[in-house]
Amino acid sequence: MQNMENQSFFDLEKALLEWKQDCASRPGVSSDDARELESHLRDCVAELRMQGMSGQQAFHAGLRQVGPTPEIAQEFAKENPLGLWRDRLFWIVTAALACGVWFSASFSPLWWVERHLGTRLLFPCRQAWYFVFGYLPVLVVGALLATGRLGRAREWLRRLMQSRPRFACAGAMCIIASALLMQISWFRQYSWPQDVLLFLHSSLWPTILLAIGTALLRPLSSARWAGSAADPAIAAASVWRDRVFWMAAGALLTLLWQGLDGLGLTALFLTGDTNRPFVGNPLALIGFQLLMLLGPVVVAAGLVLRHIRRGRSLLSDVAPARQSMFVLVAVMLCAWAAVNLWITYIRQPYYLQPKDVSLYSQMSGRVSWRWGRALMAFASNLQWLWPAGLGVLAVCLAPVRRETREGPQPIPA
Amino acid sequence: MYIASMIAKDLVAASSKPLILSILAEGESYGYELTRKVRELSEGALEWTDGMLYPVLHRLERQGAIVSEWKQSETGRERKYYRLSATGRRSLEAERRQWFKVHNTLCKTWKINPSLT
Repeated sequence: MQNMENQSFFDLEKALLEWKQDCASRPGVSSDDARELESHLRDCVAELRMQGMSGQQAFHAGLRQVGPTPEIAQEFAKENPLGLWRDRLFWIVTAALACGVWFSASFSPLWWVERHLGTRLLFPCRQAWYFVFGYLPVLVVGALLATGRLGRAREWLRRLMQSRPRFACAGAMCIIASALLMQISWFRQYSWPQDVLLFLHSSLWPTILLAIGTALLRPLSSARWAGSAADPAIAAASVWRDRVFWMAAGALLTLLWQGLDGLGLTALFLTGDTNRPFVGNPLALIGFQLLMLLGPVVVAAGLVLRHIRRGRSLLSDVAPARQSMFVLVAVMLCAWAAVNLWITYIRQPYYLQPKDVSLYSQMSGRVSWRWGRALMAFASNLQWLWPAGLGVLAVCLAPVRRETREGPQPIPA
Repeated sequence: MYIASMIAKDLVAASSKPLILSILAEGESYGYELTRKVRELSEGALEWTDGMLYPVLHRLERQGAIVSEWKQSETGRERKYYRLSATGRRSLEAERRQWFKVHNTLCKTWKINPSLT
């Protein structure tokens, strides 16, 4: 009886459109591919209905005949690796843009409070603010999206991605809002021309990211999905799992890159104070910067060349990096954190104000033991949880490499 | 878990290209019809996961062996039709020679009189 009721409410057209939407949302599957697959499924369903099946039965039998969408999408991606990497790059750039805008907005109130108080807050309080209002919400939202929750947010993003002008306008509004917040909270100590220049400066990098993201966007025409219900149940969570994985991996690798650059600069200033103007050889500074920024690029290019020499195409290697790679990245970040602990809090404890040192000395009972002070400062610097959280997210979401063969596969019994 | 009488995965995958080219050599066709013909010709021994056919068709199109075109079918719905190109005919000939060689070699190994060629 229950089954009959379900069947009477089954909307075949809606189910077909939702399935097509799911196919088109997969990286590497173009709208033309999805259209062709939908045409095939319609043929399947029509023939099965002629054999006496109900709409629902024919739809599910047809789905089984066509095959599992993730596996089909993986095969399509092998034939369209550029499309696949375009999608991945789009989500990496979008995540970088969203994080940048969100961090500016969430940190601004802290700067506003400090400006009005006329003093910096205690070190642990600042770090707690950065983590609780900045990094933690991003990690939580990423985890929720990857586990198929936040249906309304996913639907909102889908609507945003329906056209390039819509995406660009929404991005521009976010950039302007966050830059204004920064302006109000921080930059108002300067006069008019500096205010404008600093506003433009703070908006420059997000604007570049927005331009790249808009160019990479694969627009979904709203007309194509007319009649489709919002957030269909089969708009797979695995699509979002894959997207969040690439967002986290991209953010993690960017952090590592920035970390290398920062480490190089800090090492260069070992005998000095980074808060003061650099008085050494400017060529050494430029050389170090270039080494740290371009070094990883040269190493990456070497790995790509080795990959190509072995007769493998980097672009067609659609299975993402293995979990072990991200464990390696996490270990590297920990090593970097250890070096940074020594350099930042032992050699150059400029992060810590006298009142911070006083707080730590009250807590530990001794003021002179700088390793203890440094460790306490490091422990209370919750920003380390940001790369650690990204690492955990990437490792948990990293897909397992599967053995695949080219060409059609037999239907499982 | 696969039915024991079914053809091995690798063989199914390897035979897809000559099968598609051979069917298209008889005239233009579309994805669903191709899978149906393969099922009929093999008497059910070759049961493809239909969706996996399209990446193969797209690869053949990229290689210039086939060309595609969206057309309206007799039911009024649009379908993507594929047809063989001159390159595809040459490719089909090469495939035929290779598969005959494999067939003959296997027949000799199993002491069977080859019925093909």
